[in-house]
Amino acid sequence: MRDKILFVFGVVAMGILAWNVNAIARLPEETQQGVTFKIIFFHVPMWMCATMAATVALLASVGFLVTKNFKFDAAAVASTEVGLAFTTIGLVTGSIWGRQIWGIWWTWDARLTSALVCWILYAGYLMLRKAIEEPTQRATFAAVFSIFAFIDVPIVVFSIKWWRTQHPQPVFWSGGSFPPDWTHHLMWNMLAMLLLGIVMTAVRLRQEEAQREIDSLRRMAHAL
Amino acid sequence: MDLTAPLFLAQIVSDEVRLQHEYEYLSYGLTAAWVILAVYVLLMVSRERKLKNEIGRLRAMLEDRRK
Amino acid sequence: MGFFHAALVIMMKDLRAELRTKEAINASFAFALVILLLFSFAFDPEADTTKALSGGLLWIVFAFAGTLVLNRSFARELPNDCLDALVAAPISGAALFLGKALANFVLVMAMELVSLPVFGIFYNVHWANQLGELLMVLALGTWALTVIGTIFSALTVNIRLREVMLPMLTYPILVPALMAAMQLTMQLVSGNAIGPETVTWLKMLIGFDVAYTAVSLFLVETVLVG
Repeated sequence: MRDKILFVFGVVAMGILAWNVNAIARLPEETQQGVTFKIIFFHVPMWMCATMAATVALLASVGFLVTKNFKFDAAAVASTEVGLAFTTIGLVTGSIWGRQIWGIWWTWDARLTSALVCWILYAGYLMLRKAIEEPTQRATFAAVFSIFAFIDVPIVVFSIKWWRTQHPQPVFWSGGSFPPDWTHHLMWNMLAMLLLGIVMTAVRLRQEEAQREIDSLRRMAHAL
Repeated sequence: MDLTAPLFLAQIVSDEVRLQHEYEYLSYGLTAAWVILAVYVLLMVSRERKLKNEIGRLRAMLEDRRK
Repeated sequence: MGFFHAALVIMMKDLRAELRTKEAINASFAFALVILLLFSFAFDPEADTTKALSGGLLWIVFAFAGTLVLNRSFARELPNDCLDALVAAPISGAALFLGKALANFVLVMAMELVSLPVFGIFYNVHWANQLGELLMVLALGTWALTVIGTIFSALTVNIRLREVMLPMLTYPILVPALMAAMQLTMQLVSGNAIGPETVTWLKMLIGFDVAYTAVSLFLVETVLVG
């Protein structure tokens, strides 16, 4: 049942993306940026999904610390890893856009810097997990670190408000200048990426469960 | 009149070149996005296979030892 | 024993232990001197650029040299199982953490206050123009450094690859605070007071301190026991 739902989610996501790519390709060019601006239809949803993944990781980490239930720990790893993949895509697409529009791959403004820091922190989270053997200790320490790392996320989100950054202002809140039908396409892409993220997180979650099964089988093998 | 026509043409050609250039970067961006996603999915698939093999191996071993 | 009394006792214990050997503070100050020396080869110390670089330079020195103090904070308790005794002691984990953080704060701050004049002499910078505000920024930045350093020292004390993991985890987390402290220090060393342009950084530094201190005090019990 779970497999079927995930499969349907994946197919729906791919369907929306395929239809939407076609629609986006037909959109007119933006006056100053030409067609390069169309990267935004992937860049922004990726970052929104990454933010959501970080939020889920935070909630799961808090859940683990409160209940000591390893399901929460598995959820935290799964969503952190998928979020890290999305963050990587967000950084790379943003960088390619910057190469065309700014003429440089990277600039150290508050948005880009804090986003990179976020990436490093969540990569550090995965490294920290690798460095600890004992499962309970690993889950506890990783959850604590995840809570610490999350404090950077609001800084990333609000950095464009707090400082004058080279990164463009948001398209939605505070006077975004995005035409409604473009927003419409952005939203559809957003939904598709979200579904994709859910599918990947669920698959990763199941792998984490399989890993725990392996651990218990190993213990049984030792006991025999 | 005759003088402006080639200029106009040149303008069109340069516009064409510029736009193609921009398509280039758009395609880089989209390719990069999908390649990263595909790499991640492939990593996940390979891990899935590894985990399945490991579970199978351990189950077989436990069966053996029980006998 | 009240919470703050307990924290004070832990702080005095740590300071007394440190003053007896002086190993962490000596190592830290020597390291700061070496980095200050090395930076003089990286760029021309006579040039006007020194002032523009001063914030970044100083905080890199403080962060690297401070880590030597912070690293030892919990690792020092490992021989003779002192850490287990401390955790089992009838005081809350938060008080233990606060005491250790305060002791580290004093040590790191001492290292910074000695390195600052040395920096001024070596690089010919009149750093005392805005002394009051500079000291405030120094204290806020150092508190950020010590809170993060102390909690991660507790977190990594028992894991393998401790020496690798600690900088891997602490420096990225510290980036917002270090960025703010660097910008503010650069302005203050150049003789400008904190104005409307730079006050965002000050707010950010204070926010960082408050947020991480609260989270650390809340979570340290889990870290020490789990």
